[in-house]
Amino acid sequence: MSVASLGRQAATRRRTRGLGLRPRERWFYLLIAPWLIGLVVFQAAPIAGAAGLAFAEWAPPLPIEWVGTSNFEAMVRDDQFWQALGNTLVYGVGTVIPGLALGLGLALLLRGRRRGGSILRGAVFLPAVVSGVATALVWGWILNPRFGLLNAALGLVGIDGPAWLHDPAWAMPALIVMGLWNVGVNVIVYLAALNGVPRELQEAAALDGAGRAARFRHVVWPALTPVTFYLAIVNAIGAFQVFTPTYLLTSGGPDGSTLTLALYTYQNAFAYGRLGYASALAIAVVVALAALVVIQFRFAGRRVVYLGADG
Amino acid sequence: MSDRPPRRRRPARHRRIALLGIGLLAAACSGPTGSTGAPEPVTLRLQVSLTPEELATFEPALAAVDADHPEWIVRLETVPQGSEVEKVTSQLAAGDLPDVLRVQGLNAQQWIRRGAFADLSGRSLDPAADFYAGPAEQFGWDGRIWGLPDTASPEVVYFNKAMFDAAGLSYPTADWTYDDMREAAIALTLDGGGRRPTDPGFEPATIRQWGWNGGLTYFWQNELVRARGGDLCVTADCTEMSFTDPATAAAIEWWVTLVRDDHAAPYDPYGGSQTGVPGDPFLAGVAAMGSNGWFAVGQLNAAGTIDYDVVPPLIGVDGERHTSLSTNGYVISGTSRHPDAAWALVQALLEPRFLEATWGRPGHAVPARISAASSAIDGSHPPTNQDTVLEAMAVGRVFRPYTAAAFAAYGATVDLFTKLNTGELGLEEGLAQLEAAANAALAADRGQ
Repeated sequence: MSVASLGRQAATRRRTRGLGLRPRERWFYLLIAPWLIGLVVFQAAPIAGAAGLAFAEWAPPLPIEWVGTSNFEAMVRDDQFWQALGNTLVYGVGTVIPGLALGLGLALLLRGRRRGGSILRGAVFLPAVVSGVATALVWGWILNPRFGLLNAALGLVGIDGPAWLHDPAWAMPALIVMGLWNVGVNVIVYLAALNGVPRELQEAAALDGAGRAARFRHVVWPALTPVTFYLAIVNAIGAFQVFTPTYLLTSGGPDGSTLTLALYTYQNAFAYGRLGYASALAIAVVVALAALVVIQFRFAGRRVVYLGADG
Repeated sequence: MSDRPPRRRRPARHRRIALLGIGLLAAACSGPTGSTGAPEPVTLRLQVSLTPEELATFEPALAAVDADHPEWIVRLETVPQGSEVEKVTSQLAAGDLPDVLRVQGLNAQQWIRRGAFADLSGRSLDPAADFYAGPAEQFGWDGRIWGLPDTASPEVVYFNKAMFDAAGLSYPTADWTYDDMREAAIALTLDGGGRRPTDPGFEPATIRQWGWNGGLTYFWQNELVRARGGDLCVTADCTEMSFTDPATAAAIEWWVTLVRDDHAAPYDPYGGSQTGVPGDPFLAGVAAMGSNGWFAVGQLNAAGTIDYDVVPPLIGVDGERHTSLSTNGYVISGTSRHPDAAWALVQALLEPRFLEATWGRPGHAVPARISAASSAIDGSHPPTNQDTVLEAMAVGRVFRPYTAAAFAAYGATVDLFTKLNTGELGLEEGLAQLEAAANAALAADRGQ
């Protein structure tokens, strides 16, 4: 037996001691264990449980009754599900795209050092750190049709404001405006990204005669596309999970105009006692979100420019 | 090359850890030392959902009960108000229901019908003897008793004395009918310019004071329909409803016209879109009269801003009083490991003395036991006519339907009621839609 083969055997013994992991690997898993356990116990296991329950009907403490795909078949026939899906999509489109535009616009206005700039940046970010419940209640007062601030302001310019959250035509637009109130996160991320745009590229473009618009279009914007792509995905996921304002202010009304998928799932689980159907709805939300992200990757991913990346 | 001896400490450390583990396990498995032979007290989990004010009187009373009973130790668990359904549903799913629960009557039936609670029919405390029939009904099913009510909050008629004085009207009396109420409600309704609905130029969009606190805005107000000669419930458990029966349709129309045509009650009494204050318009001081639960006494007295009094539920077209009541009560988990001790605890919590100290005298609610109900009457604070609550307890009926699908039916119909009251939906079409939506949602519970 050669010295080299003895060395290989020793190395193999070291690797296979314990759980078959190298010491470094053992440390790695030990250190990530708290997160990993949390992921499995609080995320993966409930998702797997919900996936299983989607094929069952369960009204505890009665035993679980397996019903095959009937929950999904019922979902297809359920007008409220389609209404909730449509409302959620409208909310997503209404908050994600304007939210990105507003976030970028405010970031462009707030970048650079100027007097009071940090106060303005703080003010823009403040709603993002305020409790969603508090924000919803404040907006409930702002949007009160008779005594609210918004209609009072509209009244000053001769406009008779609508009933907002009490009018099926205006309730969703009102929720979208409330959603845009939290644009501060987008602003902060864009501000950080703007600071990362190479100054030399902008200067080179300026030397070549590019104006401000051209520099933004051909230099700044491409550099912001990775961040925009990230925000689009994260905001879309957030939009699909919108719950607090509809739960607190409208309960999905009036006339189902603000019934979102998250609220409808909650109602089925905890108000109507249909845990199986609620699980099927939750799985549908996950599938819809996954489809949305795939679409985003397919159509927007190609337009993302990663500075410094090969090819 | 090193001369260090081989390392032997790690195996020794492993042995020490193993010995420590075995020792701890043995200690955990062994009983307490120095046992006197007396039976160990059992730990009973008691779950309640109370306001901070209610908890302030409940906790000391419970501690006193606990001290009187060395055979058990009560572990009190509180659930935020409004989260009871989520909590109990989760506990049932996890098989972790407390031994004893105080639940809202309207929520109880869905769990009773799934066998979540112990059957109390064979226990010695007979609800028929000392419990009001209305609250007790909510804890019965299939001819058996699954829980016992401890409190109820019957609706009586509240009126704002200052608003009546300003309008020059005499106060309501015990013999008032709904037509008397309507006439006064119209006279008490004022728009932004101080005009009444019968005055020229009256502007409904600017109403600042309503005569009555709300119309018929959801089906759980069936007692208002019954008072006008109709009945939404076709079957005893109300899992089949009728809105188009001629008598019922006429009763609903009476209420709809009070809101839609007379403008004497808001169509959105609780959302605040018309009143500016979410919650009941009478409590907000923008309605001159209203039907409210007895719990409102505590709120009104705490605020101290409204000079008010009460009269019994108004007399219906059949000459009888009809009113609804909400209730709470105790149930025992069907999986409790100590059902006898749990029953003993429930009995202690339903003792008249406990009910008086915890609920009646503080003014939180009316005890559901006849022998303790009068403790809710306290002449040292408003209202003056407090005896009316006992009359309301005697005739009050719990909200129907109360099966699991009732909440889905509510969700499917509440906007239709609003559309009826605003006039967006015509009466005939609206009633047909209400009937179809309610019965479709309730179908799941029919025949249970």
